[in-house]
Amino acid sequence: MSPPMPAFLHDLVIRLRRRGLPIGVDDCAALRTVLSTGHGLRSPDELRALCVTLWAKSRRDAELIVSTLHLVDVPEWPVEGGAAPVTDGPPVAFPAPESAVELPPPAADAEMPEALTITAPTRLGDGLGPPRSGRSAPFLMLQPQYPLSQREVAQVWRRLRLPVRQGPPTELDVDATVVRYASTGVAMPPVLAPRRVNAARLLLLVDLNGSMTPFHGLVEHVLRAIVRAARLDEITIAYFHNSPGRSPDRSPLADLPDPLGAELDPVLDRITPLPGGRVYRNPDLTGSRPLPALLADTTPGSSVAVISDAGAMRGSFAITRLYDAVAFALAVAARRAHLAWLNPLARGRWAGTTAGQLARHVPMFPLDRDGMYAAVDVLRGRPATLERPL
Amino acid sequence: MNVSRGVDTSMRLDLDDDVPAQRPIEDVEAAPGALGRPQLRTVPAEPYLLTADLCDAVNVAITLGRPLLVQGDPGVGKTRLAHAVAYRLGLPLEQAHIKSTSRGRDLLYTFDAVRRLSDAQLHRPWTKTLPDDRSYVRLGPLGRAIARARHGRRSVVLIDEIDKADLDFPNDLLRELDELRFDIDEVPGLRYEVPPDRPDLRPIIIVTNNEEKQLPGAFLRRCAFHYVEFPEHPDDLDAILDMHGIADAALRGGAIDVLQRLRGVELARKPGLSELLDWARCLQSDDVDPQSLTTLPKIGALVKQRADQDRARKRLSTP
Repeated sequence: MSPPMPAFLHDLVIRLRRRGLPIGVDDCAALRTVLSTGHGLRSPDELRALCVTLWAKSRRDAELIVSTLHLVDVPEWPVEGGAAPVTDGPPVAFPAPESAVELPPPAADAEMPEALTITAPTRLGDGLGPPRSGRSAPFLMLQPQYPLSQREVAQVWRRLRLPVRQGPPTELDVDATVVRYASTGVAMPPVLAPRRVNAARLLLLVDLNGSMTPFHGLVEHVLRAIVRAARLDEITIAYFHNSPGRSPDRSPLADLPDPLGAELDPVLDRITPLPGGRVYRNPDLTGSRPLPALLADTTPGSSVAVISDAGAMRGSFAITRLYDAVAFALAVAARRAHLAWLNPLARGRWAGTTAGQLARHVPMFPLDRDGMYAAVDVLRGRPATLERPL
Repeated sequence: MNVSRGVDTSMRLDLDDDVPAQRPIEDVEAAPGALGRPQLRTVPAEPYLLTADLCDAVNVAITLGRPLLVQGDPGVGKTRLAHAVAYRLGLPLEQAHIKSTSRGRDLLYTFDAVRRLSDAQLHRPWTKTLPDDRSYVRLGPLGRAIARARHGRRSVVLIDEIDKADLDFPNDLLRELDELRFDIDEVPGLRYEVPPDRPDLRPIIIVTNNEEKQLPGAFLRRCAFHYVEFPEHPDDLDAILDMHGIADAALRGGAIDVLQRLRGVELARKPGLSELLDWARCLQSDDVDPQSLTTLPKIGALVKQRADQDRARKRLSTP
């Protein structure tokens, strides 16, 4: 039976796990082992550095661990004969500017610590000065919590695969080797073939601002997870606001039997694919690119996913927006790419909005685990069941 | 994962140790099969500014027997760290420079199946027997380090730029890195291992990573981690330049000043430590006047992109 773990560890591990760093039993065992050999005992700073060495795998992890350790009561161990003395808690703060001015002249025996003679720079006005650096209060780093973990997103999008042999030849091609050996009869190096890699391409179009503002954090989180872990051949992300493009010819709308109705069905066959459109390379909607150029890069069978609420957030319905979205879907279909629409709002909120009507024509799924599974299925080429396909 | 593996406290990297200008260290490029009879080679000292943090991280990695994963900006001295550690500890350094075609097994051994096949085909009745299967096995860097442990000697292993390899490369090595033991599949019964009860013979493994790819979690979990910061302080930079033989203090000061100003400019690729060293060496060999450094002579050694060069010149022309 091994001795018990240090008391602060439980709190620390719980906090770190809550912030998304999966510390396990063997990680704790490793920490105890290293502590028992004398590392990280001299000061809280050294303990922090040790935890970073053991548990962090990236700079982000390191910041997370340091900030969490500031929140936990770290014990101090008496060390005999150590090079550095045990410090008492956090390092002594510099005196405030007022007290520095009032300081008596240094005593004659000159045992005054040097830090006390430092005067803070005078500030203009009474307000707080600007923060000097992001590191002065590391425990203030906040970690957002999302309904979807990065891991879940990654698992879903890893299913988007299109294996193609590509890259350096590393795998043995048994058939070719046997054929070559049989035809020449001389021992030669085996024939190698490139390994199968994922050649799936994904174009992600993301609606920003306006009604999508509340979802920016979630969408960014999902995008980051997809980019980091999906192992696709190429991911292109482009941004737009409300609609990737306005259809120049909306004349079929005039022929709707009921101009105030919500359905496009009577004129659906007369809508033409979106010829133009403009999307942006950066999330702040700068660096514009014509949509046709992006679509021209898609090959038959590649994937196009749209993340947009399509009016569901505000419960609005706009027949022009519906028209443009259908025209966009037709433009994607003209490239013979697969399209899936991800809506950050739950299915129950779509009824009576543009999203509700659009979902009748275009495969639309809520932006949750099951919805993304279904969306990836569609992007892989499984036909979606639609009420009125285009 | 083997939780209860032994702790090694026999070896410490100490910041304050005196470093001799050169020392004899076992030659890793000696003839294969010489593992039993080491040949010494005189190695010059590796100029490297060790920090206390870095020392601690290396020591933790040695204590636990885990690979040390080193990250940091390009040219900050990740690879040279392995050379410095090996030199300071007086151990031979086995280097594995990873390429996009590298496979995990290449680090352990390669088996020359083609030569074996051709020997077998050219086998004539008057040649009595084929050579021993073992003669077709060539050990890789990690394999040699493990084999050397059988002879009671320790090594430092550098696995350089592990993110260049295929995604599965680190995963293929998990078990071998954990247990420091491998079997040669082609020669049944041939096994190399570090004696499990001798943690003091475990190779010290240093892995560098340029963050081009996300490494698999299972591999990361088995590593100790250290991020090498760029030495921002002029004194550190001055010490580093001094170590690398830039004798002129005025030149050092001027070069550091220019570098720090350039790092404040928005450049696509900020000049790092290796660029500074190249530039300073270049300036020293050409006897450039330290006063003229703000005109950026030999800028090609410092800033490597045309747009950046223009921007740097413009910025430095205004004092």
